[in-house]
Order: sequence, then structure tokens, then C-alpha cells
Amino acid sequence: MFAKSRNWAAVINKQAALLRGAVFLGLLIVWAAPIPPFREPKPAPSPTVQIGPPQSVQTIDPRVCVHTRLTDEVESWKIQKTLQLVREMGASTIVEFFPWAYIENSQGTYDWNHVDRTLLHAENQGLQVIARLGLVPAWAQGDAERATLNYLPDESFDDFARFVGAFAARYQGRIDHLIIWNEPNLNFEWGERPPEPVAYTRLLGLAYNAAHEANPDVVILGGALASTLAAPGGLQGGWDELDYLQRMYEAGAGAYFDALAVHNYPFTQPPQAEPAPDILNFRRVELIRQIMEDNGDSAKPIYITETGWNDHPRYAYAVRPAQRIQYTLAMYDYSQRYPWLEVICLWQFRLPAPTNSYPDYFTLVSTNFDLKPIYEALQAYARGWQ
Amino acid sequence: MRGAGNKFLGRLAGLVILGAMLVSSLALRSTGTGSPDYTWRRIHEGGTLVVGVDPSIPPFAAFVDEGLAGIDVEVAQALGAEFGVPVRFVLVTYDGMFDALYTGQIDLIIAALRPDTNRAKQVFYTQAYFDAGQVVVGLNDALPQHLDDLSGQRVVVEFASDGDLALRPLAGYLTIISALSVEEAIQIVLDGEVDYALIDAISARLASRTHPQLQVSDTALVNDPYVIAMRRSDWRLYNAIENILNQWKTDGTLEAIIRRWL
Repeated sequence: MFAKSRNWAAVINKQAALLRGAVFLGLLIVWAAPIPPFREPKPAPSPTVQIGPPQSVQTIDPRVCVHTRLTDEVESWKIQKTLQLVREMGASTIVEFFPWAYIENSQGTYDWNHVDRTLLHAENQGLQVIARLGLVPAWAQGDAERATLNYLPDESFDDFARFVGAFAARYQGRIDHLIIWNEPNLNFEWGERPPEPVAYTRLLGLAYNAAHEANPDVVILGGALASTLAAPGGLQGGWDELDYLQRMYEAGAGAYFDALAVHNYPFTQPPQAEPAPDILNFRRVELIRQIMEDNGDSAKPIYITETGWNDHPRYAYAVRPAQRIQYTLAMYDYSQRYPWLEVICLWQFRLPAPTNSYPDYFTLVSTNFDLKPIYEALQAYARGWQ
Repeated sequence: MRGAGNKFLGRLAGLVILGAMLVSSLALRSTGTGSPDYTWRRIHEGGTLVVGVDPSIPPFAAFVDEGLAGIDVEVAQALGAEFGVPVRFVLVTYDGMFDALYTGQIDLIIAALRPDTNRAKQVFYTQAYFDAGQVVVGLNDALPQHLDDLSGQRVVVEFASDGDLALRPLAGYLTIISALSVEEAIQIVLDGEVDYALIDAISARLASRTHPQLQVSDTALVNDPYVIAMRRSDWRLYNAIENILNQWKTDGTLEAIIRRWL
């Protein structure tokens, strides 16, 4: 009996040892296991997208335009919804960025899918599209040590021009307005180097010729210069756009654009504020117009392709939300006296994802498609409801 | 007996080691990395704490007569003092601040920054050092602490502000009065025309300085946390700053910094 119970005890001890071993092994596995990768929450299924009957924009002011941000929008229903809201607001034109780097990621091979999709929805809503072209693919950046996404070495100018020509040819009759580069008078936009008005003029000329050869009806928008008071030369991160534009003309740029694209940020100033070379405000566009006229270019129109006030609660260059609405509407009213002004495009309609910072306070519609009061006010103006 | 004691101590030691392994494993998981924190090492080998601040967001950072100043500047300097190292400031704006962080040009972003979950793979965000969200301002002591508590009340907001947008979905449950500015909203409260104002915490704090009779809710009804960001590889730095912020919230250091400005 005693011997039997000792046998049982041995069995139990053996099992306990096995159990301890298993626990140890388990803990060891837990400790040694690789850290699981961060997993994105599974997205909800996207609503089905159907192209409805063609729409048209109802507006009393065809100059109302918005800069959309569909570049990073991957879901078709969001592109469609965005453009539907643009049309319902009464804006007849959008500016949209179509990055060269995304379309011609491999030299000579074009992926037009995103442009096609965006244009399909824009046309369905009855919207005119102004295409902004830029952003350099890796293969065209040349010296990798200096390369940034905006760095285009001289030897790649022809490659960009070929892309512009290909774009103009493919979308002839559908996208006939092309902006050549963005804010080339800023160091950042010129590839983290001092801006070069002569070099930009050469780039503009090559793009102009390629585009017009492909599509005789194309309207090439030159400039898209940033509003800045930085001294000429680029030592302060930019180059005063008034001086830069004059140097463009001196380099012969007048022959290479059909209209001038202007970026205009009034910051805290009301739209009626007096212009001066050392002040950034809405009426600075009059100074730009004067330079065009001084250079014999008064027959060409101006397109303001970026403008708008910000209403972030703490940003030093912002106004209060009510002021933003008041100033924006007053800008459309005041600018009726500019017969040479073709469109006024507000930066920016909606962001694909919130920045959680002041850029969110430039938008008219939230990322979640909530309409802001400024959207409703602009809609009432553009649709003639007020 | 002695053999049994050794055996017991041996097992205890084994369990302690196992426990330590498990705890360290979980700790590494919680910070998301077990890689060396080179920033922490550099700072503690007599280096400098390099902080990106945005001077376009007063009173968190701005240029005044004496130079760069504000809540973010003082928080950075106090962190430097805790680490025993000098602080070097780099001016950043939203467009470039994360690139500056990713490329090692700065160690921290302290720039009235809200956390962005889209960057959670690259960035650690600390707990909030300030909540700039929407608070209730009124004339009585018992202020609502939740949006639901505003039901049936008359509330003034600044038109088209974040407070206005937060209350619009609740429009059927309370009376919303629109003012064209924060100052006008405050005046409406002072005149007794409404029960409360719902405005951002910074405006509320500034208004209560001018009008001591105004009461401000202790907590935000709609949060807008300002946090510190750093590279996700800098997990020791993250843990250290979290501990410091906890301590500052307990001993009043943080509130003292904020009170100097708000």
C-alpha cells in the first residue's frame, strides 16, 4: 500500500515537472516571439460608385473655383463625393495636382489611371479642370545627393517637357489648362536651392512648345509664383514674386505662357486693403498686373489658382471664422472690377486626411465631408441664393 | 533542510528571472521597439536637446522683444533642465516639422501639436501638456462638465468656431446663440443674456484674467490635446518625458508654466 502510494507520488511529481516545463516553455515562447507588426484597422467596405447622369454647375459667378486635393485620395466614392460637393457649391472649375512622379514613375511608361478616374468624375459633375503639373520622378532627379521631389536638373528639362506634351495630347479637349510647376520662386519648390527665374523660363518654354505641339488649343499657365517678401536671390528661402516675374519677362518668358497663374495669400488683411510692394494682401494682384502691362502682356488674363484665408484659432496668420467668410465673399465682390481676372480658386476644398494643424482651417469641407459654414456661405453666394 | 532551502531559492530565482523576462518583453511591446535609443545616449553624453518650435502659434511660441518665448519654449527649457543639458531651438512650421524630426534635425516637436494617428508608426506622442479644447465659461460655480449637461441651456458660441461646430449636432436640445467673435461671446455671458459660453480654453483663460468673475470649467468638453512628438526609436526619451510630465502635473510645474502665459 505504502509502496503503491510512493509510486503515485513519483507519477505526480513527474507530471508536475512536465507541467513546470510546459509553463517555462510557454513563457519562453511569449518572450522570444517577434513583436507583431502594427496592423491597420480593417476599413469599412467602400460604397459602390456609379456614374450618374451628367450634371452641370449652377452658378452666378463662373470665377468661383476651388483647389481640390485628390492626389492622395484612393477611394473612388470620395473623389466622386468631393466633386459633387464642389458642383453643388456653385464652383465651376477645380485646380488639381497631377504629379509627374506618379504618372511616369518609370521613364517612358505612363500610368494615367488616377487622372482618368478624377477626370471622369469631374466631367460627370460638369466641372472644368485646371491641371497643375510637377513633382520629379526619381529617375529624372539626377544627382541623388542633392535630389528632392522638386529637384529637376537642367538635363531633365526635356523629360518634363515630353511629359507635359504627353499629358496635353492625351487630354486634348478635356483638360486644356496646364500649370507649369508650382511656386518656382521658393527654394523648397525649386529643389531646395535658390530659385532661378532664367532657368524656370527655359523650362516653361520647353513645356509650352511641347504642349502646344500636342494640343494647339492648350492654355499654358506660367508662374504660379508664391506670395513672398523674401529678398531676391533665395537667401531667405524664396524670391519676391514681383521681382521674380520681372526677371522672367527679361528672360523672355512672355512668349511662353498664355495666362499667368497667381498665388495670393492675404493672411490677416481684408480684401480691400491697399496694395504695396512690401505688403502681402489680395490687391497685390494689381501690382502683378502692372508688371504684365509694363511688359506689354496686357492681353493675357490672370488666373488666381490659390488664395484664401485661414481661421485656425491660434495661427498668427489667421483671421476669425466669421472674418474669413466675410473677407472671402468681399473678395469675390471686390474683384469684379478686374476684367483680366479669369478665376479665383480657393485653397483648399478638402483634405483626404486631417493634418491636425492649421492647414485644416483652410478647407471648406472636413475630411468627413461635414460642410463648414464658409461652404454654405459661398454656396449661397455662387448659387445666387442670397 | 539546507538542500531543500537551496532548491526553493533556486526555483524562486528562476521565477524572478522568468518574470523579469516577461515584464521586459511586455514593456518592449508597449513602446513598440527594443532598439537602442541613440538620441537618449547622445543627450546624456553631454549633448543638447534640439527642439522644433513653431513661432507662428502664440502664446506657445512667438518672437517677442527678448527673443523666442512662450509656453512651448518654457516647456522645452524645463525639460532641458530636467536632463541637465542645454536646449537648442529650431524654427519649424507644419509643412516641414515631421521631416525635420524624421531626418534627425530635431529631437522633439513642441509646437502646439495635436496627435495624428496617421503618423503613429513613426512617432511617439506624449500625454497632453495642455488641452486647448472647448471649455464652458459662466458666472456660477457649478459649471457643466459634459456636453450633455448643456441640454436645455442657452449657450453662446463664436460663429463657425470649433465650439459652434461641436454644438450644431445638439441644436435640438439647447439654444445656441452665435457671436461674431470670442470677445462678443464673453460680453454676452457677462451681460447675463445666456447661461454659458463654449469657447476654446486659451480664450477662456485670457478672458478670466480680464474678468475675474468668470468661471471656467476645469476640463474641456471637447478635447484638443497639445502633445510632444519624437521619433519612435527614441523610446527611452519618450518614457523619461512621460515620467517628467506626470511629475510636473503632480507638483504644479506645468500649471505654473501655463499660468505665466494664460
